[in-house]
Amino acid sequence: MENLTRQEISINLEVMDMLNKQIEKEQKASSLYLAMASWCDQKTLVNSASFFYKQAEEEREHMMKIFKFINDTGGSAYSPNVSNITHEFSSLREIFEMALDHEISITQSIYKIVAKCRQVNDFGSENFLMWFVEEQLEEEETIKDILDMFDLSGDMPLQFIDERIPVGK
Amino acid sequence: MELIFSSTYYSSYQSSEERCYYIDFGHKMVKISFCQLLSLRYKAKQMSTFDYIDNLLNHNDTVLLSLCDKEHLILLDTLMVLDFVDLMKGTFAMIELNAMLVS
Repeated sequence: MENLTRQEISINLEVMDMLNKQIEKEQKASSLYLAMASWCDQKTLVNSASFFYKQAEEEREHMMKIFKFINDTGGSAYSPNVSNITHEFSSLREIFEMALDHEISITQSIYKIVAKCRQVNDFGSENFLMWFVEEQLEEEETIKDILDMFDLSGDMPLQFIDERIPVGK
Repeated sequence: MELIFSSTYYSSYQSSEERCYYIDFGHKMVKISFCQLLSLRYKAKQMSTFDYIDNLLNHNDTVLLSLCDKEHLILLDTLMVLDFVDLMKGTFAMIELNAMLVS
């Protein structure tokens, strides 16, 4: 039987399913960062709010990048349904710790897709994901640096810490 | 037209000449593109979740399945839903197997 499917789609179907799940994760991260930005904004933590607004935009860009890739390679991307986003946080430090945990889980998820690409010889998708591997390491590093700054600041007022948050990453 | 997979009630076919696929629902033969087949695969995945089957068994007995950008509507009962899920799994497994044999 002629391999009609290969002429229609250039990526592996299992990889496509994992990328669709990744779309959901990136969108969830974007929504979570938006909730964090809102919390910071309400407490006049201007730089932290700007930081999370920018993060929310970036996660959405990541989501769109994957979405477009799936459709461009002949697959079918599905618009994510995101719910259960928490808007309650106890402190600014907790927010950054939660953001780091979230970034780590996204990094691990990207690694799993790369591993799958290697297993099924989907080199096109693997090559596409290399940008994400690099990007995730940068994202983790940025938040780790901020948490280090929290440690160094000791019991300094929140306003002092907020002034040192890198605006727009 | 070549048979890809047959489940208890349904069958899927590939037409290399027309560069499309067919699904035989018993009372109706539906011509579909690859994109539409992917869309059916997605629906079958959603239909195979525990919550979906649980809801089907306890609250609804039937499902209206729309195909090919709402061109066709098929009424399925619980057994037919499970069979449709089997058809999609089997169809894509055979497509993958064929790809390995051809390459």
